[in-house]
Amino acid sequence: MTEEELIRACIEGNQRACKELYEQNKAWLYAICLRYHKNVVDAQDSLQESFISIYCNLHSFKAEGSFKGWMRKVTVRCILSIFRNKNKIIESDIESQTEPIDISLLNSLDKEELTFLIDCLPAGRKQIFVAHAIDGFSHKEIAEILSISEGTSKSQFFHARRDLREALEKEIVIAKNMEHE
Amino acid sequence: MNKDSMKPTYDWEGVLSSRYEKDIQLPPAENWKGIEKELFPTKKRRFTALWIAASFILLGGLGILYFLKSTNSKDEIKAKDETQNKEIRPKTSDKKSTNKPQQKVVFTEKDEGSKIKNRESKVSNELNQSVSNQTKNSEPASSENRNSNSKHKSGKSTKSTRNLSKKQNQTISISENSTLTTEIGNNKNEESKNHENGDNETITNNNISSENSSRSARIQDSNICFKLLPDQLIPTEQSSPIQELTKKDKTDFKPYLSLQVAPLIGRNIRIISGTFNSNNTNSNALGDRRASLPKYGFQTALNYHLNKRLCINTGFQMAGGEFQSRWFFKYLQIDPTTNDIRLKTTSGDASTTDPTLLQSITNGTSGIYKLRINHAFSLYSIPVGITYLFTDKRFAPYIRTGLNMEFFGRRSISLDVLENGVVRNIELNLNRPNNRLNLQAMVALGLETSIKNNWSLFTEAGYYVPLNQFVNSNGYSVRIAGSSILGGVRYELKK
Repeated sequence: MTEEELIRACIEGNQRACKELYEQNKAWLYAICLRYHKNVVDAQDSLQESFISIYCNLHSFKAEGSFKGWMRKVTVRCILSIFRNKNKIIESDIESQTEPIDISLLNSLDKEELTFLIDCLPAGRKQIFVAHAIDGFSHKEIAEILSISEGTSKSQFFHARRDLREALEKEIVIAKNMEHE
Repeated sequence: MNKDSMKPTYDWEGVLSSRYEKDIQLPPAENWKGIEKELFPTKKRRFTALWIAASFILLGGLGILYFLKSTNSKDEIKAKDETQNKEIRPKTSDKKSTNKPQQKVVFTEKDEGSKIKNRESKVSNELNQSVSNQTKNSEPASSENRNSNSKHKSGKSTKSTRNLSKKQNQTISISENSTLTTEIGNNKNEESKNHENGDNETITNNNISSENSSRSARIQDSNICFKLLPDQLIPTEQSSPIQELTKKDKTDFKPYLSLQVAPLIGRNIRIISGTFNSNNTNSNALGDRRASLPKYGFQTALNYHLNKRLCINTGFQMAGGEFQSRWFFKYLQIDPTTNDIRLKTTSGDASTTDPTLLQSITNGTSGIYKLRINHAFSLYSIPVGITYLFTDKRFAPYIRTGLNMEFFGRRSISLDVLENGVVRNIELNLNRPNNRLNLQAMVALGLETSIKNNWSLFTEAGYYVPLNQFVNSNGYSVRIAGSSILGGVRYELKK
C-alpha cells in the first residue's frame, strides 16, 4: 500500500490502515515525544494524543509537502498544546541576543549527555528550545500554539540557549579536570 | 577532523537537530490499544450491547418456551390421567358395588401404613377361616365341586370361586388381584384333588393353612403395589384439597385487563457509523460516533392478562430530552444560492444564515471547525410486548419482550460558536428532519408486587435494540438504541 493509499484508507476509517500507519511511524514519533517529556508515561500519552490528532486531521493534509514533516508538525503541536493546558508560561520581554552555542561544545558531548542537559532546563524553556532548535518551529508558530507572544517565545528560547551554553561549558570544564586528575 | 566543527558557530541549531534526526524509540505495545479505544470505540461497545441484548432475548424466549412446555406437559399428564382413570373407573365402579371390607382395606392400606400388618393378619385370618369353613362345611357340595373341578382341572378361577362361600368371595375381591384369585382357584383345585386322592382332612387343613400364609404374603405384596401407584390411580371418591383448589383456580381465572402508569428515565442512544468527511457540498460532521441522549418521560400501558403469569401489553410512551454534542466540521461552507450554512446532523439537515458566523467563515481559512450542537427532542413510542412472571408470589420478577416503534416529535438544534473567547448560541433551522420510524426490539426485566386489592407496584429496566437504520445518508448511518428505567403503579380491571 502506497503512502497515498494508506492515507486515503485512514480517512475512510479503515482500522487496519490506521494501525499500519501507526506501526510505520510510531518509533520516530515516540522519540520526538521523549524529547519534550522527562516522564515516559507523559511521552506515551503525548504519542497517543498525537496519533489521534493525526487521524482526525488527515483529510487536511495536502500532498504538496512531506507526510512525515506534516506528522512531525502535528505531533509537536499536540505536545505543546498539552503542555499549554497543564502549564502557564510567564510572558517576558525580549532580551538582548545572547551568544550562540559553540559547535565544538556540542560535539564534545554525546547525545545522552546533551539530552540530559536539555532535560535540566526549566520546563517552559525546554519546550520552546526543543521546538525551535531541534524541530524547526518558528517563534511565531510556537507563540500561536502556546498562546503566548512571539517575544515571550524568543525570550524563553534565549534564556534556554544561555542556560544550555553555560551547562555545556561547565560540563567540559569538569571533563577536563577529570582528565588532568 | 570532524566536519561539524568546521561549520560556523551560528549553525549550531542545524548540528543539534541533526544529532536527533534519526532518533528512534519504540513505544510499549499497549500504546496502540489506547489509540484504538479512542478512535474505534463504538464497534466493541455495539458488539457488547448486541450480545447483552441477544442474551436477554434468548433468556426471554427460553423462559416462555419453558413455560409453554411445562403447561403443555401438565395438560398432557392431566389428559393421560383422565384417560387412565376412565380405564380404571369401570373396575372401581365394580368395586363400589362391592361390600365394605374392600373399600376399608384399600383406604387403610393407603392412609395408615402402620396398621397394615394388623389388617393383613385380619384379612388372612378371615381367609383362613373362610377356607377352613369351606373345607369343613362344603363336604356335601364338594362332590359337585369335585365334578366341576375335575372338568376344569386347569380351569379358570372364576368358576371355582363362584362355588366358594360368600365371605371368601368378599376376601378375594378385596385383593383385586387376579393372581390371588387364581391361586385360590388352584388351591381349591388342589384341595379337590386331595379329596379325590383320598387324603385325610388334617393334611388338607395343614396344606390350606400354609397356602393361606402365602396368600397373606401376596396380599401384602399387592398392598405395596397400591402404595406405589400414583394418587390418580387410587380409586378415591374424594379428590385431594390441592386438586380441588387448582381445579377451582383454573376454572375461576378469567382474562382481565390492567392499566399502568410509570414515569421513566432513560437514554436515547445514537449509534452512528460510517465516515463523516465525504466531499459533500454540505458541511459534514466529523467525530462523535456514539451519542447517548438522556431522556425523561412517562409510560402508559394496557395489559391483557391471559393467565396468572402471562400477559400481552401495549401502550404509549413519551419522553423528551436535551443533549449537547461536540462536532467537528471539515467544511463550513456557505451555500452560494441560498447564502446560508448547511449542516448535516444526526437529527437532520440544519442551516443558519447568522451574518456574524457567515462573515467569520468568509474571512477565515477552511479547516476543522469545532462546534457544539445542542439537540432538544421529544420522542413518542408504542411498545407491543409480552410479559411473563416467573412466580405467583407477592414479589414477582418478570421479563418483558417485544417490539417498540419510536418516532420523533419536536426537535430543535442550536449551535454554540466560540467568538472572541465568548460562546454564542445560534438557533438552527431544521430543514430536513429525519422522521423515519425507528423499530426496536425490546427486552426488560422487572419486579412487581401487589400492594392492595387490584393495585400493584412495579419497576423495570429495559434495553431497546435497533432493528432498522434511522438515517442512512451518503457516508454515514444512524441507528437508535435505547435504555430506560421506569417505576409505576398498575391497576387491575377485575372484580
